[in-house]
Amino acid sequence: MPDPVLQIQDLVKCYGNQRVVDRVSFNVAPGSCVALLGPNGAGKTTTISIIAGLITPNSGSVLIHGRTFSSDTDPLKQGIGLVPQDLALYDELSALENLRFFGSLYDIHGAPLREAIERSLTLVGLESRSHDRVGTFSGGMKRRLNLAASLLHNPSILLLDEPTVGVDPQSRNAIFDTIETLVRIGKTVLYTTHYMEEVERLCEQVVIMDHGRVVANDTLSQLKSRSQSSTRLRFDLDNAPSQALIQALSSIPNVSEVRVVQHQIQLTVPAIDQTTEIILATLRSHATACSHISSDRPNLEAVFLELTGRNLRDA
Amino acid sequence: MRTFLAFVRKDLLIFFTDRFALIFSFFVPIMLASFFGALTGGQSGKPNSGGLSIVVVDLDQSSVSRAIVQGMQTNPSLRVTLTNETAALDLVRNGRMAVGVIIPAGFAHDAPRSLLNLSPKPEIRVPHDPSRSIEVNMVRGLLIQHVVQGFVESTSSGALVRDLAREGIARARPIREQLESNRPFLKGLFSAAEQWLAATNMVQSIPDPSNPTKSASDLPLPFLTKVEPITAQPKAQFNGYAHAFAGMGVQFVLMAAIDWGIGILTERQRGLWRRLRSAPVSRRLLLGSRAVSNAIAATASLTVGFVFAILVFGVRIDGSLLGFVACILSIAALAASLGLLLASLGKTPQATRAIAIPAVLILVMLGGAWVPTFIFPLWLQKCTVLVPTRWAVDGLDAMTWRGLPLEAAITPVLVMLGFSLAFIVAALWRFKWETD
Repeated sequence: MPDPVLQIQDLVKCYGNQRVVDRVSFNVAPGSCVALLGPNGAGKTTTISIIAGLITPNSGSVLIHGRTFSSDTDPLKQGIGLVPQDLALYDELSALENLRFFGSLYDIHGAPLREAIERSLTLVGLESRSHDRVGTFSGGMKRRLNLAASLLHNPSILLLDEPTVGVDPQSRNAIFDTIETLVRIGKTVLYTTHYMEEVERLCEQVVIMDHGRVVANDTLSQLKSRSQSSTRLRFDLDNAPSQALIQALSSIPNVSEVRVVQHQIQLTVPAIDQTTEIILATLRSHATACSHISSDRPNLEAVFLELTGRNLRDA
Repeated sequence: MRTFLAFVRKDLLIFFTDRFALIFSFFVPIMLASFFGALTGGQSGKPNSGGLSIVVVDLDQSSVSRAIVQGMQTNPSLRVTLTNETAALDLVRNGRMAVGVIIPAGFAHDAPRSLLNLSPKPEIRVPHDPSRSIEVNMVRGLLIQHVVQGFVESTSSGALVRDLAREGIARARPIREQLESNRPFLKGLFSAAEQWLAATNMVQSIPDPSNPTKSASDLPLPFLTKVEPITAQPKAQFNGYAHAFAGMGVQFVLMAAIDWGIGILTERQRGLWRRLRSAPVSRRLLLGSRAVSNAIAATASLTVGFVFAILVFGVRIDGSLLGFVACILSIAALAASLGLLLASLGKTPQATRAIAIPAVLILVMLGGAWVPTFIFPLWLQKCTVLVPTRWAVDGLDAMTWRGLPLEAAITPVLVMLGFSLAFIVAALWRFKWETD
């Protein structure tokens, strides 16, 4: 396994008596896309801010390529691209003027800056709007420009803090495509969100945070398989199930719950395995035809519920 | 009706939760009304209870002149400073005193004699700040009162009257002899004149010297007043636009400073500060560049204003051009540092604006940009030396219409730079660098 590019070690940040980040530790491998998943107030943004050097932790350390920031002007910052949760753009300026300014913060000028701007705008699909004032952009376009502004200096690590908040599905997909492209070309991405579907699409490693703590840190597949959640199987029947059938299904080993909703019968089982075959055989033995079978797969929502005792969106 | 009330309730809830609206609706009117009420006399109804500051020079040193000075000193409308002629002229020239009164040597001797044509009328000089001509008339009126009083008080023994009678008789003797020899001629002349007046119906219009209703204003005064607007250079001339452009210029760069400060707070609120802080740029660069851009904008604003005043209203920089430039730059520094201070002390743009606008309005009012500072109560006038805007306006006045040399700009410039430094130190001390 390659050395991690980002090592977060025992970070603690307190505001008054409140510990908003509590002994947070995780590593990020080069070229990976890691999700920092958690509800609002979990400490994700504070963690990102500490990594970006915006906040000094009370204790703990952040190692980027094995080093910590020595000052505000540390060249190590050249390797980090932060996409803030807010639309960190000047509405009064054009997209081009915004990017020129943000590029100059990284000491990029002249032809290299022009090239970087062109490359970033093309990547996010805004090259045709470069001379338009940002104030005239839609929310989705602003989000894409927000991302482009963080790519000008060609950072190896991207810190994306909820980069799809409040955007339409089309722009969201465009942002996902851009992130996937960035990961493909070798960028390391740390992505905070509370949308599980984003994590499932983009990230192979997931760090789940709640109340300032890391409650899980694993690959997506491991987290799902580790889940104790049951699978719910749904059978759409041609006729309403008889009482005898319901009793027969309830008596099958591993079936923990049987529910009937009109012509549909729902069975809770630990996994889709041989039990499914027994259920189908039972249906046949009771002369009941099944027109459609579906299942709810184990997902992050269920994992989060299991780890924290509450739903991600309710938290 | 319920819907209507729900709308009203909602609007009132929003209004009372908006601190900016609350301050502007309740606090600012109370504050401004209190301020202007105090200026116009407060509960006593007497404007400027401290009296008008004047400087008096007594070159005569007679009992009459001393009585005049004493009378002025006890007048509640005046605050008299006694000094010598050079110092008095300097005080007026620098705008520290509105009006001066210089009683010439020999005044007590010449004034009464001038009534009998025994001496030329003595001249009391009234040097004054050209921007404060309104007060000159007030001082002249009070001066007449105190001169008459001074004579009445100092000539109660009748000695002066006896002296004047003796001198008059001695001087009239040759005239009397001459009149006697010409008596027939004069008799004929008066007779002819009366006949001519009767023929032209003008007899009734001849004033009767014994008429007791004759007004005091018709009486000749025993002295002249020489009103002298004083500036540092002979060519320098008061131009009201110079003061107005100084005051309004300062006001608007400070208002712009509020926007600059709020701009930083807005950047913080919009997440821009996070992006800026994540870049490899120093704190010095982040705030320094902002201060410099603000100072450049303030300099441009003041310069454009004065260029307009020069071209359109004939305002002249009669003092030191270098001093004028130094004043402009130090005002720009003051504005830029004020912007930083607001950015460091403010929490949200809305709350900061609510507090900063009234504060700047008070600063510019105390600086004399809206109403001249001499209208202020005495205690308030003393307080204004602690206000940087007062120095800003004074500095620009000194370099424009007052025509003062570079030295006169040094103190205002140093004071403004001192305030700027203090604002910067406070801003750096309080600035919230960390952002979540």
